[in-house]
Amino acid sequence: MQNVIEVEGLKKFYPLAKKNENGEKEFQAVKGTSFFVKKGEIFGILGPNGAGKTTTLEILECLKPQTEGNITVLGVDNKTHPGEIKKRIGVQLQSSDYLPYLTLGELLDLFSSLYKGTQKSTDLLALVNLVDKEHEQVKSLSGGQKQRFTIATSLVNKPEILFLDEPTTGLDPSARRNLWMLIKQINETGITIVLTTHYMEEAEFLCNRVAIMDKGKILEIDEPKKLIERLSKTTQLSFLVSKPIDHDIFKNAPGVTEIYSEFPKITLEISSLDHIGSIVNLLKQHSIDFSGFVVKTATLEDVYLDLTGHSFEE
Amino acid sequence: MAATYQLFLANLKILYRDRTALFWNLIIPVIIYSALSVIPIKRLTGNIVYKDFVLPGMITYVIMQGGIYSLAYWMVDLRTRGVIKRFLVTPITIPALVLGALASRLAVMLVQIALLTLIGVFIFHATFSSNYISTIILILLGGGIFLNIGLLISNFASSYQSASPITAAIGLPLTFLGNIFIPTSLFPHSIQIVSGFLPITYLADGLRQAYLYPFDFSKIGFDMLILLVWFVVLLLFTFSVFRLQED
Repeated sequence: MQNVIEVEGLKKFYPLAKKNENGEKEFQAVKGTSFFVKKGEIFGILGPNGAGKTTTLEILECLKPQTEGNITVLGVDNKTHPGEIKKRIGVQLQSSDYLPYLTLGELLDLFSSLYKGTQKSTDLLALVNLVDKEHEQVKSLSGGQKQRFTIATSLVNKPEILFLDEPTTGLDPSARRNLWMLIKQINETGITIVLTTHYMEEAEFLCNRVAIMDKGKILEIDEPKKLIERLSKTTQLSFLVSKPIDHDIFKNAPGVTEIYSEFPKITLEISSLDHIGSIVNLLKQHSIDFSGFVVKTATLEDVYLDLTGHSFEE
Repeated sequence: MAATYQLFLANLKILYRDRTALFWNLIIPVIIYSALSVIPIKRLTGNIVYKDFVLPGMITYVIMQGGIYSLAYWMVDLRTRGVIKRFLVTPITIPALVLGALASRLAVMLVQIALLTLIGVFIFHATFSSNYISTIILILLGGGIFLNIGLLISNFASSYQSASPITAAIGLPLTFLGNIFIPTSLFPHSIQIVSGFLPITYLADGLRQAYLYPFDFSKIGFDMLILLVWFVVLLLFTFSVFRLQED
């Protein structure tokens, strides 16, 4: 599959107002990252605040220059032809606002006037389910509606790549899920999507491939499922027993890799969800009375923890 | 140019729909001018009656205010709210973006000036010598100078809080020393020297020449030349330092 974005050795330094505790005059936000984005995929950059996600995205959007490294977007060099790239991409910024006192329809028409070959404002409002708000101003919209409108403004030029910077931050769970469906819908029309997020669930649900970023570096890139499968411990099964049991009954059970026991709780590490049925049968064969049966599969959070040694919140 | 024109129209719509700003931009200058015109001052200097002296002065003031205060605050507001950043990810160029904002501010200035002139001439019977071309040239030069200063203020002010003292530090001396409401000939010689360096002094003087006397290039030409020099210098400076985008 064709690559629509290629990044090689990307570095970004910001000057500091005064030297930091290490005596440095610059802060390195991105520390030599390399990756590519395939045509038609949803590519996610996952990481906590300060990981360098937004800086990376804003460099790809030609909003900021890189300090070092080579980048091509749609085959065009971002340093020499930023204007050419801007014509072919759509961008939803992490925080931006609109000119006041203009209606949604007027704002879409204004953005359309900045490009050639644009979509009708009514079609875009229909796509994001805001047709009835055409004559209203942005200030009257809820958080979810504003995000959907922002996505509509980023589609006026029929972009080949859509950049979404933390599109669901600050939204309630219902609005977040609505936006996920919209993003999937847009991607199904053939538009490549590059998004940043610090929500693991969002990255797992939306992204074909994820780059895990921490402290300016990309630690791993792959499909979310493969990243999880690469972990040695992927699935945990736990249950409560009414009386202490002999652990040896699990020794030859298929797929069981570790056993932890702290009466009344038994926890088994298993290599795959496929083995759950045989473990239940084993418990029945030995007439073990069990309850509180819980299956926990590994998530990207576990992958992140495994890669960095610390959780997102730290 | 199409994008600049659309931005110009959008800015005009905003200015029209923001009724509070409309009131302060159009009605307040008229109220101030009306109040000054009825003050029982016959002559402050020479043969000019005060209502004739103050009409070009008031027009000079609205030109300065449109650039230093209105444009600077508008640009700071748009930048801090991320509105400008949203435009910077589109193919529009920075000059086109800025030109759209400047043109709309200039259009508002022209409406303010037309309104003040009509009220001055038809209600207060102030003198207007119909030097239309000179008047328009002076307004464009003055508008260009003060809109440039407004852009520069917005460039150096990171927030409303920092814009406010900058505008005050620039606007207040220009208002009091610029021959707007009080003839500088009444001030001590040292202050007159300072006044002679300010562009607003030449805008006020030029507009007074255009409004009160028959066209005389030997008098108005000098004011225009000084304003042109100021405009070119400020334009070059703005081009070299103005940034909408962070590095």
